Amino acid sequence: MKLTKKFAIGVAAAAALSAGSALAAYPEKPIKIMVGFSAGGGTDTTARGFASYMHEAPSLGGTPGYIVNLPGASGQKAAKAVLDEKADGHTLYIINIGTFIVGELAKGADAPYSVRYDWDNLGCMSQLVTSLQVHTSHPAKNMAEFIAHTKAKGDVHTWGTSGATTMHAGIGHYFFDTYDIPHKKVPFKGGSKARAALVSQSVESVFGGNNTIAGFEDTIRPLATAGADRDPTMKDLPTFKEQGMDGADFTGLYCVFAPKGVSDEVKTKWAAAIEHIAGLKGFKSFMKKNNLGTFYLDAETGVAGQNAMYKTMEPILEKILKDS
Amino acid sequence: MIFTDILGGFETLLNDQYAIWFVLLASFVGIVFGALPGLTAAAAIAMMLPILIAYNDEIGGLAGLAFLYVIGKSGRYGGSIAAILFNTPGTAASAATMQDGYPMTQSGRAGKALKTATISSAFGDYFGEIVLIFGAVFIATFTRKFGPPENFAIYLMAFIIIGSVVSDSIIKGIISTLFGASIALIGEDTITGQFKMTMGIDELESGMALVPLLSGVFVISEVIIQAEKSAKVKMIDMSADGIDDPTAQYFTWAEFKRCLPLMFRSSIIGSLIGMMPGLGSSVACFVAYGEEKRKAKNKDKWGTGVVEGIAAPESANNAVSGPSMIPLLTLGIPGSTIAAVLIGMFLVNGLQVGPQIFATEPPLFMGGQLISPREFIFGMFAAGLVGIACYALIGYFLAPVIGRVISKLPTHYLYPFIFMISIAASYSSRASIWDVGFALLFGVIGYGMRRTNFSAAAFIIAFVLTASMEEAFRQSMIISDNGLMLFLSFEYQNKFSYAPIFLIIGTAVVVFRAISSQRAKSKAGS
Repeated sequence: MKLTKKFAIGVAAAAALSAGSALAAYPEKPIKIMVGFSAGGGTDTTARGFASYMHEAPSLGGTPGYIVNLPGASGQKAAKAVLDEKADGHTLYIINIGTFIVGELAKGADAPYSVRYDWDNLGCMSQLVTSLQVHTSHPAKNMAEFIAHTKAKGDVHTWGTSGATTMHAGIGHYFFDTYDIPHKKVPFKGGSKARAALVSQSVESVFGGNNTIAGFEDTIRPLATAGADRDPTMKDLPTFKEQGMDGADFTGLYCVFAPKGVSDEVKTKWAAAIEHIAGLKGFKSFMKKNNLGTFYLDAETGVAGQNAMYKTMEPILEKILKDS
Repeated sequence: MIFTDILGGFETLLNDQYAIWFVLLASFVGIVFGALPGLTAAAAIAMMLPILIAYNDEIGGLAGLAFLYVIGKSGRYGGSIAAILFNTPGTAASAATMQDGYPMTQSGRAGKALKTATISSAFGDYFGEIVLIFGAVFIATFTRKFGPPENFAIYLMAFIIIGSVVSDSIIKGIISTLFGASIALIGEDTITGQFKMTMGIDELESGMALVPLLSGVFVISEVIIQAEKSAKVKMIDMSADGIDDPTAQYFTWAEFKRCLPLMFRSSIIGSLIGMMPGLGSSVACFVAYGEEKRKAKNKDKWGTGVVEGIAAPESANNAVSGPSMIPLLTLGIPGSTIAAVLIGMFLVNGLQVGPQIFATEPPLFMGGQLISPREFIFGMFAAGLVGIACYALIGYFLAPVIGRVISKLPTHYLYPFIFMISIAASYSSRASIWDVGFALLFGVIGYGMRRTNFSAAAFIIAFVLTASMEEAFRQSMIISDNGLMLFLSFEYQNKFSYAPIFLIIGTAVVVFRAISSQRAKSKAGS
């Protein structure tokens, strides 16, 4: 009799547990945020800062986030790893839409993903702003002087960037092609490594994020920044457009992505979480110290940004691929 | 500036709610692992790395890193306990200590031997830590000038040095290195995205993970060796009863003064060897022992139980610890197996190893606080300085007790337990059953390597270095206007290139090693 009672309690407990797990509210466990670049670059910095505040977002119920770096192939290695996971909102991807889309366009039919069809944009919290950077020993103080100096030298210009098919790489190609400067690109695994190459003067210039200049102002001089307007974190730096080059009047929104098919609950909770974190004073302060702005854009605006990015980058990539 | 940074490092360490406790724990765990015959600090780290990475955010970044860093130090020291009490080196680093340590135990002076080892190890470790702190900061200002060609030349130099010096045979060393490099090439190509050498196994597309390799080569292979022995370590009577020496259990002030110059010289030897990628403590202890024996007036007494014969190798092997981090922190190149594992801990905390690690901006977000990379690194240095004091105190007072407990441990429970932990660690690194299979496979391979004197350390370091070396090579080839000649030229991009200097150093080491090896063979023949 005693045994039967124990057995009944056990069955009831097991049933309660399994029912509990079936109805468990999202999130059930810490959330993994994948980063496709090495530590120290813009994507890694944004993702780490963001993940550090995830437990403060009421919609996530105190659940923490953690970062896993899987650098390679301009972030595509990490993207593939996220797509291999269940679309349950426990493994997400943070990247700027520029690099995400350039990576897809550069690979054409061989692309491992389609940003439009394989991913859900959950919202955006910051932006990556590309700039043309040189070592402070370089004679050029602005874009015109840089073009004049580089053309006068007459050799093939060697420039570095954070990956072969990043947004920075796309803008860099576009810049040199626009001004008919013969060039060769040296891809590094992330912005921090591209910065190290510029600091060591192993490359003549870098197309990289404004964020990588933070702390290196004595060694690195930015000459022009992308975007329709000046970067709010670097108000003294004129845009490419102001200095006579059209076509680089965009920035890469940093957004949170989930594999297509996450539930509406996940989408709603993440929209609230991103809005909350983007408004936190601590997050804003951390991002500002890294030359990165903060704001909140909902998923719909993020997707509109993606569509605009496709429009902008398609002709650029088409030309790059044709020339190569 | 550096003194302010050191004080700041202590502030960072003490402000962290977990770090100081992890330092204390690591001091003890390292001693125990080091003292267990056959097990090393690298084995302890292999088993604990996945747990520390999984809980990194909960415990704060510094605690996990400090834990592994201090285990490296206390593990090296712990090896001396087994060498002195059991006549078996707890780690390869303490093999030279056996020569005078065990005779002292046999003559009833185990306490003196253990205390000599403790004080010498702490002396050497502090010396090495100071070399690290001042050396790394100074060298980092210089290595900021290095680009892909210099980085590739340094990787190649490290391969050559490791391959030619780490094993008793140059050929075996080079084969071990090439084996590690070829395993590292499995997976996705860094530039083209194509898969290489995966044999159609999906799990190999993302390459081999470090933890299963470490578990196999350092832990499972040792378990197999211990299973073969199937005998408990034996400890002879440690009491000094009947010994006509009132100082039999103490390292006297007079002995300390006598050993001080020797400890200083041996620490310099250890520090210099530590800075060379791949050499490490096992080389340092024999070089220091041999050098001091050669200089000693009482060289006929060495090997019979003199304190100098313990002080020299123990100062040298622990002095390796700090400087072996210099290549890692200034170039991103691990100088030892432990340094190779620490790269993973730096990365999970958002830090890219290399000269920029000493930057004061921009800040990192760690344990709920904003902290600069420089503050974080000096926090680790402070953990090292505190860790040395902790293991020295534990060792000074408890080494005999730890030895006694280890001698009583039933090995038929202990090693299977360690085996299970290593299997769990291998699985948990990527939650893959394949990684368990790889750990077992590399356990057998590691066993074969150890039985045939191939170098496990060279294998692991080469495995870690290869991806970065390949990347630096490809970037160099893009930069180069005349192919491989770039590495022999003293100029590229209108700046001075240091690449040929590193290649000359590497070549000189091989030539020197080949000549000395040939001489040793001729001597043995005659």
